[in-house]
Amino acid sequence: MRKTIDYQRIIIKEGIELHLLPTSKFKTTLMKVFIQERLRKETAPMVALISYILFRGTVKRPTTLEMMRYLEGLYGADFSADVDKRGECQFLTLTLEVINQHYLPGGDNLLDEGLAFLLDVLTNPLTKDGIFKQEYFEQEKNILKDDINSLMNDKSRYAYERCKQLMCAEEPYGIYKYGSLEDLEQVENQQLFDYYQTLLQNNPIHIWLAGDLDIANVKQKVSETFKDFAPRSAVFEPVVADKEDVSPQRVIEEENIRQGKLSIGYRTRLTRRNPLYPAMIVFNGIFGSLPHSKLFQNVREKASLAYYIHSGLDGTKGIIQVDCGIESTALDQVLAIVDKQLDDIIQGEVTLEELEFTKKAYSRYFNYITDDNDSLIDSCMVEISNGLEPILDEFAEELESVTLEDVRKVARHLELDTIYFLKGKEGGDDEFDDDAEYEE
Amino acid sequence: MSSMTMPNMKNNSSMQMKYNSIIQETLYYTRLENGLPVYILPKKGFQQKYAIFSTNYGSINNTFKAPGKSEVVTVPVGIAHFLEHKMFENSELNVFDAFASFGANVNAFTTYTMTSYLFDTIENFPECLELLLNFVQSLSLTEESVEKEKGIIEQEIRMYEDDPDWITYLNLMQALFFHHSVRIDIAGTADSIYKINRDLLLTCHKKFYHPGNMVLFIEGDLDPETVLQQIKENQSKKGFAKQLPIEKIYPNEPKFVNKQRVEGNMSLSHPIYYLGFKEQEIGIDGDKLLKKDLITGILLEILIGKGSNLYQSLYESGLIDDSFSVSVTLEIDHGMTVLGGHTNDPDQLHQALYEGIISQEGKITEEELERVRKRMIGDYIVTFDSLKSTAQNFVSYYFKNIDLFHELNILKEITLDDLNQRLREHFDYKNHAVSIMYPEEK
Repeated sequence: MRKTIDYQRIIIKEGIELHLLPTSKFKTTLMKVFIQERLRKETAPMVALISYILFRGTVKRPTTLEMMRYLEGLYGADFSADVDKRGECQFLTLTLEVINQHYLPGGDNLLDEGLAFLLDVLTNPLTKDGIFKQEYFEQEKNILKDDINSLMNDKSRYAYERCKQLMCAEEPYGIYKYGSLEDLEQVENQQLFDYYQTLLQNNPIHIWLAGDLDIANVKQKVSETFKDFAPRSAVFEPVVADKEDVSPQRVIEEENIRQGKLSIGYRTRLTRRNPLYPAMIVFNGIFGSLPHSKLFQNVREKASLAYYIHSGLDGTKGIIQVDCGIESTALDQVLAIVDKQLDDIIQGEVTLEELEFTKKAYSRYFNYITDDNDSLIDSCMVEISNGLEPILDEFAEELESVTLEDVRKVARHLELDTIYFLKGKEGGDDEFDDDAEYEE
Repeated sequence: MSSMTMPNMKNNSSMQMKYNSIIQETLYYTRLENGLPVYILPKKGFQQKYAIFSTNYGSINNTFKAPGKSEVVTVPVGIAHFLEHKMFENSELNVFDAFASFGANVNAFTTYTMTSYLFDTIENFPECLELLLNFVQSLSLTEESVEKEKGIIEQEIRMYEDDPDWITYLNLMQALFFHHSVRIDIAGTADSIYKINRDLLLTCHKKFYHPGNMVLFIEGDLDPETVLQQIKENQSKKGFAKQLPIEKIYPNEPKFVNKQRVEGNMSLSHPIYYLGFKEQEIGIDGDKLLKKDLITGILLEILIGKGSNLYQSLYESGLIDDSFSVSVTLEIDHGMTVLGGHTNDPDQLHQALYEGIISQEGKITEEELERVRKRMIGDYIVTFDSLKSTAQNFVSYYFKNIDLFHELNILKEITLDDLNQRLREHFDYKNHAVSIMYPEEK
């Protein structure tokens, strides 16, 4: 960790951990709870649905309205419940942010109330006859269905997810973070409630607080909440599968859209715990994640073929994806340019500037983490879920020592797996809306 | 609560300062001889340093009179945004690379009303600041590079055309307004951008990027006096003469709406519904505009925020989901409130939402007002933890002559009468329009 912010890891009991980042730098204190689960077809929609239902009511505040009004009374403490996917795991995530005492009139202390609220939501949802309130279950199941369906409304996001799904059809990584409609359909209230109980009793729980903290008090409150909980494993293995033989596939689908959305997936077999990981970040910067990257410079600035093009890295799974929006007719041209950029890096055609600019950009990025309590917690949690201690400081040094040779090594690791292209239907171009005629 | 603002406090420098005792922040400011206003907000302990340089010129400013001229000039739509793209090109250096070499991130964005250039960095702040001032204040273009940009911007427009939320919103603007340029995408149209050329870009840059039409806002763990000295030196070398204000000309927009309902079809999972209300009182700014903005914000939270009965009943009946959102836009020359999101039944939602809103007139309680007021105070304080949010709020307020530090005091003044009056006037049936996007038939 950077010395500007302290870090304490407190084992409440095995598998239930409290992580504290005390600092007076911010005007708020942020609290996050993560419950880790393995990505599985049947349980993926269940974890998502639980995150939705928890916001509907607790025994103490049985409606969203009462929860919301309570939070508004705490100066609009910002609460959310969602599910994230990292590697081949899902994280049920609860977040609450409260204003620090010395910025409030009368010096109200919201930390105690906020923490109690968060733990209450997690452990005391409203139940009726030993299951979630049926109305809430049904309403949230419908909302989740709509949310899974609405992925198609954002076409570039859709192409990105579809590419992952095609690429990892036989691996847990191919499962969408909310699961599938078919699997959601099967979920019943009783089964969901029982599953929720096993999640609480068996799965890793990580509680984070960053801000103005009274450590002894926080520790006591959290210990009290979990006193009757059983010990369990601290983290699950982040990745469990990796396709061995890759033969590149190209999948093209059609939609009534104005711009084609391309997503290209590569496997690297390199993950967070590999010594080449820092070089992988630098590679990604040279290749496509920054404005000076080869993809941006060549596809956009030189060839004017795209407005957006970038490469993204999931270091937990070891996958790199390139995404861009292009004319449907430009597919082959764009693929050729992308290929050429990768090949150039393999051949060592990287300038000293490209290497330096990239290291500087990521050094800035890692330093900023301490300026923002949310990214601070998230980055530290990535380390924890990869079985590591949060070590941002050392990581910046490792990044600095990456050589061009290391970057070339990473580039040689890239195996093209899937090219997914969502293209516009021919002829269907100008008919989408009569009222949207533009004036000149 | 007491939010103390002490304006015009003198210190031993050439800058003035204001301190706000609730958020515990001090803002330093001055106006340079060439007309450029400079604001510096020191942020102790932050790694990040942030600067934003904005011009009071956005996508709606297509018709204007140049300073001291009587001739009215009209340029193609999308030119402010086109210019933003081309500013990064410079005959002497690649702007992106130059910032990258200092370890900094550079970006820009165009809205309906302004264009902003910004960078953030940890190291080399003075070098980056110099670069920002220089690249924004000079423009060198070739015809060829202007042509090349058209393909990129066309792809940007196409990207927005595939965004159903944005298209539904834009359709709503076309229903609410007859002539005003908020009807048109900020980037212009695939046709209009092909009418833009080098000379037009140079003209707009010369007129709208004069220091007197801009503002510079800087944040980070910095010494204000040192930063100011650097800016003064940089600006004095450039020899900008004072410029009279540019007269921006807006179309004669009726108060009533163009159409009350527009519909369309796109590739979608379920319908999108937006309800808009057109602002009736145009031409106000400063505290008065801020107060109206805050009244509208509080009112909407009480009427249809997540802590309202109406929101919860619409949610429970399956008419809205988490995508439901509310936005209030109050500019000097136009304004609107927009509510909506994804729904399975636009017509039923429309009826329930509209009736739910107007039925609240006279029924709002002190308790509701106080609860939401507290929430707004919290939201305001939280903003100052993010340099980016603070900077963007600052500049958008600045061009409306609004002082960011006034917000807490004005929040305190708002009464139930203000809310009821606003409810009656703004949510009047004749001010409304609806835009619905249906999934196309497969």
